[in-house]
Amino acid sequence: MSKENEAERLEDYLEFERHLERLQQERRPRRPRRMTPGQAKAYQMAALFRSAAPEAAEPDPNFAARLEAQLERKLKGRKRWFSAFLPATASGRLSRRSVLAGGLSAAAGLAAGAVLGGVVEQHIAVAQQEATWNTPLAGQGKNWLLIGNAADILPGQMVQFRTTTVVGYLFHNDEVPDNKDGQPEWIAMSAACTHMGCIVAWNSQDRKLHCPCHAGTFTRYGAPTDGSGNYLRSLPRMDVRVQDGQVWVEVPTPPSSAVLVQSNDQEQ
Amino acid sequence: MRRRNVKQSENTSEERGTGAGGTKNKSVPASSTVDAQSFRALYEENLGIVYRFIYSKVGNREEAEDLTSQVFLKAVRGLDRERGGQSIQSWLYQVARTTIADYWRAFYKIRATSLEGMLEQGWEEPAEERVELASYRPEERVRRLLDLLPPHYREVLICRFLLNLSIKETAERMELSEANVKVLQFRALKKAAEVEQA
Repeated sequence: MSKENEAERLEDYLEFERHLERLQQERRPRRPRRMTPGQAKAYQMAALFRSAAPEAAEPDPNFAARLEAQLERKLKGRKRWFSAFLPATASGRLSRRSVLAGGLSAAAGLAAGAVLGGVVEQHIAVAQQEATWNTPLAGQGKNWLLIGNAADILPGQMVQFRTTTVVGYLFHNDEVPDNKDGQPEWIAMSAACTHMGCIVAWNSQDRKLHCPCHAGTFTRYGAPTDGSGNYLRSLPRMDVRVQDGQVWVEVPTPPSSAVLVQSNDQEQ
Repeated sequence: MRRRNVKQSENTSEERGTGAGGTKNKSVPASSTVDAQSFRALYEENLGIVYRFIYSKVGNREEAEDLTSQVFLKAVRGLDRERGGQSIQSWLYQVARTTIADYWRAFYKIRATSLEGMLEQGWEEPAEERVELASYRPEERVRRLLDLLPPHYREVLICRFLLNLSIKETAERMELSEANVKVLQFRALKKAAEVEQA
């Protein structure tokens, strides 16, 4: 064995020991600089042997509680989403306010002669002239909203997001690049039906967005389906940006007068 | 504010499936609701299993917690997706395995783009990845491997891993130099990997 090889191997032992020290501290180890498959097996074995350490086996109760709370929140958001399938009259979920807001937003869009992709600003402009209360897409400016890690949103998945100003969907297009319509990989759109503003619900079986109020449906790209009648426009889109593996959507910021809630609405 | 409270209470009654909200659930697609409700039970049943599996692959709590969270969050997000007839549980384990496979690839900076390329370079999929998670007992595997190793390898691994001794303490106990312990533990683990494959 040459001296050079000897020196390299000594370095391997030292690096391995640094790795083990990190593991014993229960901390994320640094990545080894280089590694052969044989050495990788020793690192894998180190992880396995660590799991036999008496204190290592079980998840920490604090961690278990934290993760459970996080999952609960996700599940709740998901239940709200499915509750949109309920008939509006039976559930009482659709407030007069949200219907009004949606109606206004739809009217605003029609007035502006909006087309798919470019309607957000027009919505804001027109809506602001008419009301200061909580209208979807109304706002004084725009903000980038972090949706999450791009890798966590699987192709074909539709994710709902909410801010104080907007309920929207982010769709990870699984038909790129072979879709005929030339749709981008990420599509963010308003979840308010362009008829009356009811929040549409995603159905992963037929891959359509369903409006609970008048049975209108939209494709995964937000276009009204053929059967939905000619009265529907496409769902307004929002800009999407993917940076450093994270997905951002440009959403309207809340109006400064957002605290003005319709008092008669509350009394009902 | 009052409106908000009303909405929250509606949600709560619906989740419990009681009271006036109980009948409404009939309108909700049954499979989705069942999935969401049983997810909580799934979590309680499988947190330990998934965590132990992941811990045995990463060997430290920080990463084990991070990756365990990732697995369950992915599972929630994917509840509505077609799972090709798999049960939620076996699908959860599938997510856990995939997450670990991605972890190894990233950790070892494996650049080969295909499985064939990886195999050519000597990388192999660890055999236990195919084992059913629910019956996966890493600590038993460790004990079995220890029994098969030569005494000095066994002792160094017991000192470093099962007793959590430092290099210095191990050296004193085994009457070796610290440098020797570092060499010995590395070779012992390589040997353990060989024994396992045999």
